Amino acid sequence: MGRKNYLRLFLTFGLLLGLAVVVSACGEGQDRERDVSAPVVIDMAALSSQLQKELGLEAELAPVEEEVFAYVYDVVPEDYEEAVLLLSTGAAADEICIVQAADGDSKKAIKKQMEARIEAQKESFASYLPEEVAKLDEAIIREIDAYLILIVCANPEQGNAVLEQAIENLN
Amino acid sequence: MTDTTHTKQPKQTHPTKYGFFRLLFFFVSGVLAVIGCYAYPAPALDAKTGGGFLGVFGQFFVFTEQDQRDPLSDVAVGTVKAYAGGGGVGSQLLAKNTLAEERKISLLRQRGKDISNSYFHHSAFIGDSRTEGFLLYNGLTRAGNYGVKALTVDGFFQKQVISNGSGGKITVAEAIQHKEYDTFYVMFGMNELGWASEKTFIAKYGQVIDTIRRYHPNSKIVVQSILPVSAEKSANDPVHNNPKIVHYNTLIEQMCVEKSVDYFNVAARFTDEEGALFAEASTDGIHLNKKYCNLWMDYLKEQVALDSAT
Repeated sequence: MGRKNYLRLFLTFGLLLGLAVVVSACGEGQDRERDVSAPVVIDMAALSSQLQKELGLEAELAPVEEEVFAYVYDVVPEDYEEAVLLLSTGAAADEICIVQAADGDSKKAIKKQMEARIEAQKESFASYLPEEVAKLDEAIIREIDAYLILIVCANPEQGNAVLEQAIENLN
Repeated sequence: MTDTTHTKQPKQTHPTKYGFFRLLFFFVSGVLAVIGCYAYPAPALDAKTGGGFLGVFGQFFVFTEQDQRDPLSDVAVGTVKAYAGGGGVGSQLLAKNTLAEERKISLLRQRGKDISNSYFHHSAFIGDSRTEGFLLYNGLTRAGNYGVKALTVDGFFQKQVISNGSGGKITVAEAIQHKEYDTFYVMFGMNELGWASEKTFIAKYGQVIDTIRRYHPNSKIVVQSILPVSAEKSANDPVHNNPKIVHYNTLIEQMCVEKSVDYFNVAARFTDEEGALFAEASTDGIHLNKKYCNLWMDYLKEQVALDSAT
C-alpha cells in the first residue's frame, strides 16, 4: 500500500473516532437530563445522622416519633410521606427536621408550619434562655424537591455546607 | 397320727397391702407438693417464715387468706425509692434487699412494663420545661400537655401560653377547665428555687392544687418532687442546687399531706450516692435526656401498677 493510501486510511479512522466521541458525548448529555427529571430521593435517617455529627450541636438531640413531629409542627398526616425530627432536651433550641411532603400544596403548608415553629420557639426561649433566640433567627429552612429541611444550630454556615454536599451527592 | 410340726409357711401378703401404703405415700406427697408450690412464691418467703428450706415448710403454719393478697399490696404508692431502676442509690438498695423485696422489685418492673403509654392519654401533665421534655420524649401527644418552658406556680395563673384553638392563647388554669382528665401530674419548683419566699411558693402551689380540684373534684392529683440537678450544676449554682431542692421537696411533701394529694418522690429514682442527678442523665445538669425521660415514665407506670395492687 502506498503512502497516500496509508494517509487516507489514517484520516478515515481519525474521522470515525472523532465522530464516535461526539456522538457519545451527546448521549451522555441526554442521560444527564434524564437524571434531573427523576424524583430526588433522600435517605432522611442518614442525612439527619450526618447533620447531627457535623453541625457541632450544643445540645443533645434525640429522635422522636412521627406522631410527635405532627404534634410539634401541627401538621396533618395527609400532608407528608415521612418525617424525621430530632429534638433537644429543652436545654437549647437546637433542632433538626426533615420532611418529605406529599405534594406541592402540602410542602407549602409544612413550610408555613416550620416558620410558625421557629416563631413559637423564639417566643418561648425569649423569657427562658434568651441567648438561644439568636440561633432561631439564623434557622435554616431548605427545600430539596419534595423535601423540607429545618435546622436550628449555632453554626448555620456549616448547616448549609452539609446540605450543599448532600445535594451534590444526589446528582 | 398327723404330723403337727409347724412348718413355716411363706408369709402371705395381702396383694394390695403395700400398694395401699404406696398409694397413700404418693397422695400425701402430692398434697404437700401442691401446697408447697402454691405457697412458695416470694410473698411467703419473708421474715415471718425465715425463708430458705425450713421457711418453705414453715409457711404451712402461716399460710392464711391474707397471704393470697397481691404481693405488692403492702408497698406504699409513691415511696418506691427502694425499687429504683436508675442505678446509683437504687442499685445499692437493691443489693441490700431481701430476696422477697428483690422479687417485689422484679414484679413491679414487669407490671410497669406491661402498662402502655396510652394509659396516660386521659392524664394531664402540668409543669415546666422538664415536663415538656418528658411529654415529647415519651410521645405523649394525646395526654394533656401543659409542660411549658419557664412555667411557675404563678405563671399557671398568669402566663397565656396555651393555644385556645382559635388563634389566641390562655393560661394553664383556664385551659384545664375545658377538658376532663382522670389524673393530673404536677411538677413545679425548679424555676421557683430563686424566689425570695419559699412560703409564697408553697402557698401558690397550694392554690394550683385547689384550682385543679375545683374544676376536677373527682380527678386524682399527683404532685411530683423536684428532680435533682447534676453535681456540677449544684456545686456552681447558688440557686439551682441539691440542698435547696431537697429542702423544697420537704415543704412540697408537707403541702401534699395537708392537701391530701399523692406525692411521688420521683427525685429518688434519679439521685446518685452523692445526692445529685446521674451524670449521664443530662448535658446541662437540669434537663433529662430521652433515656432518662423514658425512665421517668417507667417510674410513673410502676406507681400505676402499685396503685392497682393496693
